[in-house]
Amino acid sequence: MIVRSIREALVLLGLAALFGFSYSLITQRGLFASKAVPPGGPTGQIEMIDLAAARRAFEQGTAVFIDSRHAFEFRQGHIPHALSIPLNEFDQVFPHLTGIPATQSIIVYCDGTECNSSMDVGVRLMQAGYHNVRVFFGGWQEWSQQGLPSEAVKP
Amino acid sequence: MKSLLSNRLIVLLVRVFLGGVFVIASLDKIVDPAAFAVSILNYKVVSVTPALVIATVLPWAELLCGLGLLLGLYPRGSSLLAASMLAVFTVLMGSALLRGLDISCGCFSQDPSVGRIGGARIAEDAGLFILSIFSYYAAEDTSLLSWTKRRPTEHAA
Repeated sequence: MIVRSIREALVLLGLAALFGFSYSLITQRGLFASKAVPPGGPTGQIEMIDLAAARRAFEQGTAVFIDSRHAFEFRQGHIPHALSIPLNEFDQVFPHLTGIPATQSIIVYCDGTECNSSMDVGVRLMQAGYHNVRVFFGGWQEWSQQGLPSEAVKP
Repeated sequence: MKSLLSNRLIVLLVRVFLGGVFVIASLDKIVDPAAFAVSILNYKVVSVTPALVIATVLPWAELLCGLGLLLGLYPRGSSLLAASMLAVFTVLMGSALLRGLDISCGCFSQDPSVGRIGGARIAEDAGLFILSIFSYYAAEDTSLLSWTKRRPTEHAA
């Protein structure tokens, strides 16, 4: 009975692989995902997250933070390990970002609730093929007001 | 226990429930395998490429397994596959909890804000594991299909 059951389970797994790879090839999702993602991402919009979610991602190290403010603001203080990609320098800086996989969770932030460069950079990252981009709505102001970890670039 | 295993109604209910859970669990993952790959990466056990391969194949294994249990196609193979997957999920969640990870389990929804791992999730998977073992040892020809086919004969008899 066990040998037949194992054989059946393996047949099911084989079929799952066949269906999964075919589906991925046809729909360009998952393993064979295309780099061409519609503006705003596959769902048409970027998820906004609050301080608690951003903090959790930071503490668990599950996301790469991207700071979309001007470079001089970034130098004065930013979320530790964040990468600086100012919106007006996106085309120059982005090509140098290597080693970040398309499925990597990315959180973009700018100064606070009244700026929108984080959203613009988020959209451009999704257009570049990153699927899991979120925007930390409260941004640097909310983060720093809570006294959360920060770092600055020494002159 | 033997009478339970041969009780066709109980076996049918277990397989319909288990099959339904697997089919439902597969849908969100099939629609968005990239988000499921992120859920897998959050467990910090595999790197990106294996996570993408798993995210591409596993949802379909869940779907076929669920359909197998519901329709009676390879019921024992489906039960064995279900039990194997549930055993891995349970161990992974337990290991993530022990490592202090506070992550979404990625079980039914890929929304990172829902379904966080915890004791309840582990108990849920352990319960499903027991049901799949039950289904494995139960009468082979009991499923929704065989039930609907058999009824008229039984009535005639």
